[in-house]
Amino acid sequence: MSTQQMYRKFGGMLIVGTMIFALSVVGYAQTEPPFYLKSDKPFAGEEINVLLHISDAFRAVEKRTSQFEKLTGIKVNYIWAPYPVLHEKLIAALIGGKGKYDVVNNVDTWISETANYTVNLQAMIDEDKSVQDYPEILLKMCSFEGKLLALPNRSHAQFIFYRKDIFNKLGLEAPDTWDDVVKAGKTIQQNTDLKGIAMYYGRVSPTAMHNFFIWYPMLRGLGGCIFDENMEPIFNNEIGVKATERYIGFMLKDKITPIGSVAFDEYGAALSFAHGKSAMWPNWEYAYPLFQDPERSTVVGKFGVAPLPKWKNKPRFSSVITHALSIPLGSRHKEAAWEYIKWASSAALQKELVLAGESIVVNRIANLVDPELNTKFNNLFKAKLESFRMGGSLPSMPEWAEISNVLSATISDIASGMPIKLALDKAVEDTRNIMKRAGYYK
Amino acid sequence: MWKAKQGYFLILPALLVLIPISIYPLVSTFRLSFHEWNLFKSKSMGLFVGFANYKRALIDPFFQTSALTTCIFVSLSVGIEVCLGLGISLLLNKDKIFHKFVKRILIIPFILCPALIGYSWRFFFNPEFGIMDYLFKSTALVGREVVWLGDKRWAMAVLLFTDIWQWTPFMILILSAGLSSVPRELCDAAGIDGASKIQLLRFIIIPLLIPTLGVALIIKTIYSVKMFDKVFVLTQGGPGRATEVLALYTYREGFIFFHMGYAAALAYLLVIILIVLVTLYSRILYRETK
Repeated sequence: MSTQQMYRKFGGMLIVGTMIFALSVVGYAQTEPPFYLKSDKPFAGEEINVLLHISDAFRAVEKRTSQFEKLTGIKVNYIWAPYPVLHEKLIAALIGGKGKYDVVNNVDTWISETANYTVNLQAMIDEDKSVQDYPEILLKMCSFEGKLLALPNRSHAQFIFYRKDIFNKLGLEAPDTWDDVVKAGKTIQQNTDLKGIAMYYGRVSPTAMHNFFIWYPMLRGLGGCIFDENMEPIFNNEIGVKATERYIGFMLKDKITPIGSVAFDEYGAALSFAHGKSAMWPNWEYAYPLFQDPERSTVVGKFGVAPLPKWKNKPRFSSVITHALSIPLGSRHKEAAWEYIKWASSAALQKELVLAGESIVVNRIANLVDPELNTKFNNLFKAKLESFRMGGSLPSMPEWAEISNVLSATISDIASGMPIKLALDKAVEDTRNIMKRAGYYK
Repeated sequence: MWKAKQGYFLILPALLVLIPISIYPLVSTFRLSFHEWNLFKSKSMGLFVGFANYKRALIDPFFQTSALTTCIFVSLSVGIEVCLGLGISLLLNKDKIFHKFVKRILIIPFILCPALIGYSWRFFFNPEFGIMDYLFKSTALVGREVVWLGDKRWAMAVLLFTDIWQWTPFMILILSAGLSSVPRELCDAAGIDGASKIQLLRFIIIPLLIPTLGVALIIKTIYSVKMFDKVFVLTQGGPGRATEVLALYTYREGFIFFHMGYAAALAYLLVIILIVLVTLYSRILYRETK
């Protein structure tokens, strides 16, 4: 064989080899579509209606919807509701059952209420292994009586936001215990014109019962609980009273809260922190974009985030909540809706939004341990995963709406001056009556 | 004969609209109030339970609290608004351009949307940046530590304040119309006979104003008993349950907890309360007229 023939043979083999390689790559890409969506666009031309509550994280998802529409051919219409009215809108639509929405924003404490009206996603999740990458607690929170009724989309754990600049200036460490919060709060009030911690004891909306979101981890952190194993309410015991004294003590005893705390809701208190009037704010990490937004916040780049404080010598406990996506039984586009839920809840989209600075909501394990995300946010997500493992959710039961209403009114009563033991005893009696009417006791 | 039947045909279109949007829901709700129905559990109406929902309401401490709160709110709001409305109407009862202009301006609060009023006053009474908070505390009438919507007494006071601000113009409007129908000659004659202004008011103006006063009282009482929008926006029934009026309690039971049967019974108890009040007013006020 001459040199020329050898080169031709080699060149031919190279070309063929390259073509085979290229085809195999394309073929591989086609068998693993982005976001694990079905590759052949089987639902192209369908239109789905998605009900979500107004939030930075969901708005960020909306901005990228053209990506989903291109990949699937499914048209998405968004219907927005302020969070305080989401519950009514959701329940009315589900019970109406006319297929008004195909995907709805559910919340873990509402899963049991909506159980008769939403699709069991277990079969879909069993078939589609891509959506199993969640901390166990989150899937449990979205289940009722063994059925998975929603897929977690936005899951939150509790942290404390604090003015890092002021803490550094005054030589304070990020608070680790509730006692540290009081010490830091008093020091800050003595040396600056800020208030120590923006708490929120107000009763503001029928479904957004914010005012016990921090009371609950205090109760659980001490080893207490709302119910015992026989579903008897026990939060008026010694542990409950101690937790409540600590909770309300920031305002009534230590006086390290803004004057409006007695009537604040979560958002009002967050604004007190965002506007530089309070040095600390405890609650969900979703508020991060608010504090980083120069149009809404004066503390951009000045705050730090630490795990929610705990009791001294006790394990840390964080409440966990989840906004999840459900498919109403009345939807006429269930499979197209599932494609949307997979995309909106995907690890890839979550990471994209966080890196773009449009969201801080991460709940897939791959993202919670992702080195790039954790470096950017100072290991916030690893701390969140730890909170998911150590923490717990509020009770999920059909009667929770009534019971949380009792708790919220009780906290508000205590904040207005009612003696703690008296208020808790009354709340336990009211809770017992609710449970009795619901048939929990024989 | 045909002329008599013609009337029925003329009102038929109005009845065809009224029955489905008014009569049907009333009858349906009444029927619902005798059933146990939790919408979380089932889309279909539950079992017939007779008067169980009504009995439950009467022994329910939350119902009793909200009924008492409603009583306090109604008596104070109606009483203050009638007195204020009458006083301002008497002051403006002159046929001058300035007085007519003021009457027109005063009506503005009444025509505003109640939810907007609630939100606005919520901001005005905010303890950190509210203008009303600043004004009241500047006059040292109240202490610096008062958080209007976080204190049980002040929350009710703010609710009353906003209601009085909104509804007094309505009273002024109605009572001004009533005052304009009081014959001037009677007042002049009384004046000539030596009657003082107080005597004129007590023995001539008020007795002649009773039919108008009755209408104003009945309308305002109905609205006060049913009041929902302002309390929903301003206080959500808080702090605690200090401002939880019956309408808000009924709403919670029906649209938050979805106890449809019980909420229907509460709604009808509200209707019964209103019927009793209106009947009482009519008997007392119009017996006086006779």
